[in-house]
Amino acid sequence: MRIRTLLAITAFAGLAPWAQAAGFTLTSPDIKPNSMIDKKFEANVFGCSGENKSPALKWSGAPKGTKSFAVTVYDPDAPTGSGFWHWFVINIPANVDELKPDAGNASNANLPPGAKQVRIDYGFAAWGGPCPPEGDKPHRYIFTVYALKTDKLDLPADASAAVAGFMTNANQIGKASFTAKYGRPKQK
Amino acid sequence: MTDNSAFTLASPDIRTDAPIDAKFEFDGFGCSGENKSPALKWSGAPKDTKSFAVTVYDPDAPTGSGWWHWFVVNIPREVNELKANAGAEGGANLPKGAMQVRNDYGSAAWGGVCPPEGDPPHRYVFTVFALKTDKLELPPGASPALAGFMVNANAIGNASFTAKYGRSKK
Repeated sequence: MRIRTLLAITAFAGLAPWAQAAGFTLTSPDIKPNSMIDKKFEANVFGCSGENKSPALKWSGAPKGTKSFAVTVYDPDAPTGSGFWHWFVINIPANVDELKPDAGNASNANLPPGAKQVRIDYGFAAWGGPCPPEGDKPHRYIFTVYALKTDKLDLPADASAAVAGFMTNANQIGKASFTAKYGRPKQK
Repeated sequence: MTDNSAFTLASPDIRTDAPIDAKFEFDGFGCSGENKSPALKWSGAPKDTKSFAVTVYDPDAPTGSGWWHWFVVNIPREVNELKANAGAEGGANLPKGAMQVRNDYGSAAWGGVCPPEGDPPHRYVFTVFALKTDKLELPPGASPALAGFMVNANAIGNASFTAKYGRSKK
């Protein structure tokens, strides 16, 4: 199994460098950093009723030597014991510098050719929008793009987001991120 | 509200002041242990406990979300232990009614410790949760994060201990 080899090599090589590229930035025309996310990006499961469409994302200034990108959205404030993965896209070709609105559609039709969605914590391989418990303090949603030194992560079909996160960290040569927030008031 | 005053969790197989034994190591991803779960025992659960859940989690795994090694739900209230190798795949060694949730390796079983070689030893947090419901209804294939959400939402108490494991650089 390819992943076993890769993990073994990674383990042998020790921790990957945690490079923070100077000019590497990630933005969204739909979400300002540190602002409240619009309701249309909310999930449409688990009692949530948004449109569950992923926002557009754009990046620039990736390190030289980038062979592919991965994009993740993670909520560290979810009361699960391990946060919550909302989106995980890998194998984005090196010549791509954006994800279009609704790129996270479960059909995969809106992804750049070659890119692949990993199963997130809702259990499906697609964008799964914010859906914090009603009445919780707004949660943080961390949007990150990783520049990888490999053109493809060979993950088992049903790999967990944690496995994908391990492989992404082990292969990254830079990353850029921004954080936005989302909360849902308590219903009377 | 949680009441943890008398609730404790221990393992006859793991000391909290010593490294975890290599036999509990995973048997894949470059690791070569026996991948058998240690025995666990608990006592002093809150009076109104209707069921238990047991988890093992590595907060130090370099994944962005740690690593779920084991997640057992729907352990009947009259049970106060998990026998050695209760985490075998298929659930034959589990208490009746109990169920394993898929871990981060992708299997519904104990998935032993397997930190990257050369990492400082990782922490492994063993926790038993006392729940106010006798059954968590989880979709088949539910992620451990989803199970964790349901467990936290239904917990009336918990007890835990932490042990460490590392693999030296070859």
